[in-house]
Amino acid sequence: MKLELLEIKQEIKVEAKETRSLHDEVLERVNKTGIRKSVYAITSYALKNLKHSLRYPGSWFYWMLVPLLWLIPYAFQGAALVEGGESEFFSQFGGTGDYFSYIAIGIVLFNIVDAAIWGSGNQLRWEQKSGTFEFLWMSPISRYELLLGASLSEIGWIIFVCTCQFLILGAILSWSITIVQLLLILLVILITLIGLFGFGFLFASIILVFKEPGTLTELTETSLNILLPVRYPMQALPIYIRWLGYIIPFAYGFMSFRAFALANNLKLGALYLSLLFILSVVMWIVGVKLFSKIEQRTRKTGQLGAY
Amino acid sequence: MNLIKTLKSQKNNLNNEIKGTFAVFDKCWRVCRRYPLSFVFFTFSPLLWLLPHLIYGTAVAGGRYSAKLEMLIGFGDVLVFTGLGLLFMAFFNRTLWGTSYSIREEEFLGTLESLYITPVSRFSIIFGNSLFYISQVSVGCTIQMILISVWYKDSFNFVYMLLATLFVLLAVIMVQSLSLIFTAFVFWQKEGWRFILIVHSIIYLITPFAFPIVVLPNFLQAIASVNPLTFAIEGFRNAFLYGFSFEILRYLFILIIAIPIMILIGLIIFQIAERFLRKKALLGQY
Repeated sequence: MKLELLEIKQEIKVEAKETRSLHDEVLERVNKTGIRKSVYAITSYALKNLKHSLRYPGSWFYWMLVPLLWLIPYAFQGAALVEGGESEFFSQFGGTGDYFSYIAIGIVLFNIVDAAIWGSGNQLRWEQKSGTFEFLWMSPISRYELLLGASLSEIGWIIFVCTCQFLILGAILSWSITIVQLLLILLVILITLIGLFGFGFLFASIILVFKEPGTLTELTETSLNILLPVRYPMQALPIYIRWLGYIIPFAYGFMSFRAFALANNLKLGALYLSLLFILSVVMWIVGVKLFSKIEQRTRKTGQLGAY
Repeated sequence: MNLIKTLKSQKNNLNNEIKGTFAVFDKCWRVCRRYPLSFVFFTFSPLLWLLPHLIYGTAVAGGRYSAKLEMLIGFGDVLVFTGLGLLFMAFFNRTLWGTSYSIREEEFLGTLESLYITPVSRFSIIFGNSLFYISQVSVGCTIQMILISVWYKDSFNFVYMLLATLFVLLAVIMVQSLSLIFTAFVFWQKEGWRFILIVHSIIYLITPFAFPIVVLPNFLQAIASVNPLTFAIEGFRNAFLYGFSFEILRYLFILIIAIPIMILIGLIIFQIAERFLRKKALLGQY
C-alpha cells in the first residue's frame, strides 16, 4: 500500500515538473525583451495566419489563376481599338507601346495592393469575427507587432501569386529580363512592401472605427483600381483627379517596375523608386500615428470591443 | 362553373404571389436603408466600374475616336460604344450576383425558415430580391445612360433609347434563368461565389461588351455567336445607335424564343436542387 502511494506521489511530482517546465518555457518565450521579443511576436502571428491560409490551398491557386482571366477582355478591347498590338499613347506615357504587357504587369502588381486591403487591413476584423480579437489584444505584445505580423503573413501569399503569374505571363508574352533588371524589380517589390505595411496600419485604423469592412473595402479597391496606373498611364486620368494617384506610394511601385522591366529606363526607374521609398515611409508614419490615435479613441468610447 | 372557380383561384394565387414578391422587395429596401454607406456605394458603383474600361479604351485609342473600331463596326466613338456595353453588363452583374445570393442572404439573416413557411412560392422570394437589385442598379445605370446620351448628343434619339431599354428588360428576365441555376448552386454549396466568379469571368470573354465579336479568336466567336447575351447586348447597342432595323427584329425574335426556354431550364434545375437538399436534410443547414 505504502509503495503504491509512493509511486503515485512520484508520478504527481514528475507531472508537476513537466507542467512547470512547459510553463517556464512559455514564460521564457513571452518575457523575451527588445527586438528578439518583437521578432518572435511578429513571426508567431504571421505563422499563425499562414497556417490558416495554407489550410485552403485551393484558394491560393484560385487567386493565382482567376485574375489572369480578367486580363483577356482588355486584350480584346485593345485589339478592337488599334492595329498591331501597339498604342501610341502608351508608348508616349507608359514607356512601352505594348498595352497588353503594360496591363499584365499592372494586374499582377495589384495583388500587393489587394493584399494590403483585404489581408492586413482587414485582419483585426477577421480576428473579431473569429472571436479571438480580445485574446490577442490582452496578449503581452504591442498592437503594432500584431499588425506587422498580419502584413508579414501576406508576403508569403504575394510571393506565391506574383511569381506564378509572372512565370505564366512571361511564357505567353515572351518577356526577356536581364539579371540586373530582375534585381531592380525585386528591389521595387521590396520597397512596395514597406508601403503595404503602412497601408495596413492606415486601413486597420479605419476598420476599427467603421467595423463592417465590406463596403469600405470594395470602395477602396475600386477607387485604387481607377487612380493607380494599373491599366493605363496616369496621364490618361483627368487632371483634377490625377494628383490623388500621385500621392499614393503604390503608383510609383507600378511606374518604377515598368520603367525597369519594359522601358529599360534606369534613370526614370530610380527616380520613381526613390519617390516610392519616401512616400512609403511617410505612409508608414501616418499609418502608425493614426492607428495609435484611433485605438486610444475607440478604447475611450468603448467602441473597441463592439462587434 | 368549375372552370370559373379554377380561374378565380388561380387569379387569387397570382395576386398572392405578386403581393409576396413586393413584400420581399419592400423588406430588402428597408434593410438597405439601414446601411446608408453600403446603399450609396452599390447604387453608384456602376459608374465606378465603368471608368477603368473607359479610361483604358481612350488611352489605347489615344482619344475618343478609333479608326479601327470604325472600320470594324462602322462606329468609331470609343466612349459611347464601351459605355453602352458596360451599362448593360452592370445590369447583368448586379442582378446575377444579387439574385444568386438571395436565399443565402435570408440564411445569414436567420429568416429563411420563416420565409419558407409563408404561403408564397420560393420563386416569389427570389424574384422579390431580384427586383430590389434591379431597382438599385437602375439608379446608377440611369446616370450612366444620361452621360452616354450627352456624349452622343448629336445623334441621340429618345425613341431609339426606349427601344434599347426593351433589350435591357429582356436581358434582365433572361438573367433570372442563370440566377436560378446559381441560386440552386449556392443553396447546395452554401458558399458558391468562387464558382460563380469563374463563370462570370468566362461570360465576359464570350460577350462583346467592350469589343465587337469579330476580334475574338475563331473558337470564342463560335461560342459567342450562340450566347444569348450577345444578341441582347448587340440588340441594345444597335437599337440605341441606329434605331429600328431588320437586325433588331432578328435579335428580338431570338430573345423572345430563348428566354422562356432558359427560364424553364432554370426553374427545373432549382426545383431539382431544392428537392435533393430537402431529401438529404440539407435545406436548413447553415
